[in-house]
Amino acid sequence: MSSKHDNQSDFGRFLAGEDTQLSALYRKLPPAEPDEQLDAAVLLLAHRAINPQLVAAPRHALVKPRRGWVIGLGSAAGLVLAAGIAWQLRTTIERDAASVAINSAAPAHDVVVVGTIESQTPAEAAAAPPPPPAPSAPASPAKSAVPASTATTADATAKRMQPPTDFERRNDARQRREESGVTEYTLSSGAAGTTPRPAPFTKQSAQPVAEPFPADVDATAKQRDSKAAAPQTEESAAPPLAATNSVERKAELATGGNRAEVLDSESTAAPTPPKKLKESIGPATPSRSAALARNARLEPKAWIALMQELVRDGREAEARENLALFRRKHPRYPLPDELKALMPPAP
Amino acid sequence: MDTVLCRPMGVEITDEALMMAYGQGDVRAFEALYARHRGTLYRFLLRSMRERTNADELFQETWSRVIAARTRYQPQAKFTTWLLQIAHNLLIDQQRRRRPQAGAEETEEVFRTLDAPEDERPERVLSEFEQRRRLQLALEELPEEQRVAFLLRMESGLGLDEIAAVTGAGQETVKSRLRYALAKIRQKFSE
Repeated sequence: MSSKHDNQSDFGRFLAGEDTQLSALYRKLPPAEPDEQLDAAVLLLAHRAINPQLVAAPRHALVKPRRGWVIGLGSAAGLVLAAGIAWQLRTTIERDAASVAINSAAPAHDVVVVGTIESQTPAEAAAAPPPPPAPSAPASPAKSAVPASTATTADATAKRMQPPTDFERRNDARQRREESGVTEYTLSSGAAGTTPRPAPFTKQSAQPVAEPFPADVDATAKQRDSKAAAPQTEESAAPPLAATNSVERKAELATGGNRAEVLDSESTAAPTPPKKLKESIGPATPSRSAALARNARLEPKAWIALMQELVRDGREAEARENLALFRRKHPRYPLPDELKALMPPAP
Repeated sequence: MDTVLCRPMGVEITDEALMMAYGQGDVRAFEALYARHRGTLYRFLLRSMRERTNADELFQETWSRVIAARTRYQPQAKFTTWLLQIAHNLLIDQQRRRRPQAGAEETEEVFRTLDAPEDERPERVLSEFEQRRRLQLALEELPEEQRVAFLLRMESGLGLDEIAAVTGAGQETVKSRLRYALAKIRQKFSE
């Protein structure tokens, strides 16, 4: 590279676009790419230019409001999927409950035979028939787990001697797990074991949403896009399903929400024991929670612009939710006056 | 309107066609266009600005102008040239406003924040790393016009006439800038 002739030759090849040592080295420089937020901001601009009513994520524009039947079909598909997941979950929980019960029932059965049950009176032990393997197995461990005040009454004992119904069996299993701190979210073989929740169902997955990038986009862009996908915002939520397991039923009773909401909130929230589920289902709907999570990743300036847009569109409740989260994330970031007005008064 | 993306297999849709389609309201055309050019444009801006924040700002502003001009767009020049022209103009404006050039510490910081290729073997890392570092420093030290010309050539693969169109300079001027840029880079490697 030192001679003038070599330099000229190199330059000629460089101009001709030939592969040179320099171009090979240049290609090895770190391949910087715009991050997810930047991509989202640009795409939002592009969508808004075509569809000015668009406020939140570009995916809104991909769901054409006139095609209600598509949304209905998607909701129906979601219901079927949710029902299937719930059935699987119930089956798994019952299976686990039975296996747990069988494992812990064996010693109790032996103890009964020998006559040294701690929680049973001699009369009860004598009266206890040899339990058939599955149905009455939960009865013994349930008895030992139940507080003494309820297990010692003769009526309760008599009831438990009867082969339990399905409902009682599930109830007992659930109660036993809850008292021992084991829940659907901690069962090793449960639907929520190592994968802390059932296969995530979201309204998004149930609806036919177009893929934003064509097939020739690189893998990074595809991955980024799938991560950015969030369950959205058809406020026409699926009709509530009957809760098929006790956790969901509790959540329903606690919040008055529907099952789809419970599943959606679980898909975005970390796994928590049932008693905390109430707290994770706040006033925001699941679609809003996902939107909030997405908005939280925006730059402060962009997030403020979004909130101002919400206020202008009359969606003050959403703006307040965003503002509350914004304040937690950026406590010192200056707010414009219209957003300051939404802040709750200082105590 | 998705018709522009429904072409027979093997028929590549040009950037110009995508931009025209977007001008007529096809957002998916824009998304395809964006996917094609986002990396190249970003690297051009980042390596010109050296600061990610500024590069992000210019990146978004460039696309914002593309979007704003969608109905007026006419495919008289290549889309790439037009896009980089917008970016270059914004770059020049920004550089006129901004503070003095970043020092070596900031350069190192930018370099450290970028991901290294995954397939490096330990026994060759030092020499390749050092080479890349020298190239990065050499680019930093180039005068603005030479760096821009070099990046347009190397990053975007533009020809002399296209670089001239983007920068508003003559082809011979562009050629000179590239020649000097290469000479300075070569000198950096021989130090």
